[in-house]
Amino acid sequence: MAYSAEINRAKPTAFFFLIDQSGSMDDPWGLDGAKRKCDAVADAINRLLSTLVLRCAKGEDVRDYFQVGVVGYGGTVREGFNGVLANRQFVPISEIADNPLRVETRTRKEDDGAGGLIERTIRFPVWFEANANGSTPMTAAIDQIAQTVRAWCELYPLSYPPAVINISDGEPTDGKPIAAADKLRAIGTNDGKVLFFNIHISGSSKRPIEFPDSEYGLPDEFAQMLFQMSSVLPPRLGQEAKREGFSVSEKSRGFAFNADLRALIQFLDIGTRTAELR
Amino acid sequence: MGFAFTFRALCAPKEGSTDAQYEDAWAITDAGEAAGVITSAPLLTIALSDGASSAVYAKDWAKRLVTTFGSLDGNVATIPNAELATSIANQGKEWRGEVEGRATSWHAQEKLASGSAATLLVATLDGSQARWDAFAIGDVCLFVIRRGKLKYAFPVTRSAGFDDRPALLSTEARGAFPEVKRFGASIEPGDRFLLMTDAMSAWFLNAFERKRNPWELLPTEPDAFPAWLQQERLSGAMKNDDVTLLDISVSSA
Repeated sequence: MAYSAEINRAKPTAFFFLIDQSGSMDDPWGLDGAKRKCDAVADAINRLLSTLVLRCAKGEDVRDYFQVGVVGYGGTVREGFNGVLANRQFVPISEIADNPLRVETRTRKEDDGAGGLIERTIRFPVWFEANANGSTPMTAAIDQIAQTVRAWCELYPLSYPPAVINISDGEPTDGKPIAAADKLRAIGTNDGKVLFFNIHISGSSKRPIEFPDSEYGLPDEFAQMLFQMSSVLPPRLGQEAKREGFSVSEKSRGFAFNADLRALIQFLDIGTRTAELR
Repeated sequence: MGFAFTFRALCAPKEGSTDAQYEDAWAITDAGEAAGVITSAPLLTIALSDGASSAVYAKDWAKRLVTTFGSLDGNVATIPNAELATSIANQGKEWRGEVEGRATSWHAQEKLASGSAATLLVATLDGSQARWDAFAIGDVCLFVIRRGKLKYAFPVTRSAGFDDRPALLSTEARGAFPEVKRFGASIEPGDRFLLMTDAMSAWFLNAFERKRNPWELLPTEPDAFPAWLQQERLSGAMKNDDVTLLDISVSSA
């Protein structure tokens, strides 16, 4: 059965993030416009990386169940990590744990278990910095990540296939990336094809469309194109989405349109859920 | 009438982990070694715990739980829920005091804030009453073999009853206390009590459902255990996870 390989240190899996860093990402996001889109996306990615580290952490030891690559595209396409991890196409999670650019202190409200909220100080490591400049070379970004993913799959042919998550706020400026997406999704390991998920973020007040199973009801050709580029959710991820309250079917794809920040965070979380780590 | 209890304990970490990374823990009243005969006490308490693989310092939490319950006097398995919750809360604070100094990196400190978790089964065999009682949080299991048949299975009774979200005892006293399952029945000379953590319990029930007597498939010599385990894991019959088997035979004293 596909998508059932055990994830362990000998057979890790990988997550790759393609992040739109075009000029329009400088725009404010959400009704209050308090944050720029690029800042909110950077925060969401950093938060997700922290979650992935914590999932692998056992005391001081961080077990390399995952490897992660980040690519930004705005004007040009470039590797997303800076500092010690600069120019690395993919990095084991233990090295990510050991090499944030800095660790900020932030406060978060949490359930106190007695019906109230308490503020807790959390450590917020930062690996990915916000950037917004230039055009949207999405096709070139997908082509570049496909080369990286192909090399990764050759190194780990028995692993649970990698997931590539593309976050963008608008249409590509370098042609239609459908063929590039098809080539990416044709790559795979023994356990299945690479998963390619796409999330379109926008400040529109329209409700987000999340995990649709057909093009019916999608608002325009751009949404339909992103839908066609996206992989169907494997059964486990479909169950995770259902558990989070989403209405999904067997044909639901890893795709969201008009997503707000809450939807982005949930999408990233579901897209990177795995079976219990051994 | 009294009983003598002959016991042995077989343990192994998951394939790919070291002995130091094994996160199950067990304790038997008055037992210092991994095998022996206990006749001294009419009450024998057995505690078995499986530290959650996603939690931090879970091995320490599991060890603390079994050591605490394994050393209490009286019929430990019949401890009321309110008293159990208080004990767990206190043990959680002691756990934090014990491990706090070890967390130096940002991720160890961040993960420490969420605390740790484990499953737990505690059984008390009362020789004077010829009765056993047990409570369980999660999917650590107890099986009783009597006259060649599986007489009792607690708390999970089907191999399909295992998943990756069992009830867990947390070090943090927040929210509702997890569900505590309870059971008890008679003891007869000749009974064999088998306590095991979830991977082996699922294997056991699966074999039973296929009309085999899994208690007859267990290795008789401790030295044969690693090879036997490897075979079961490679064949897919057993999930790769930490394994603990406590095997207690009851005879007339």
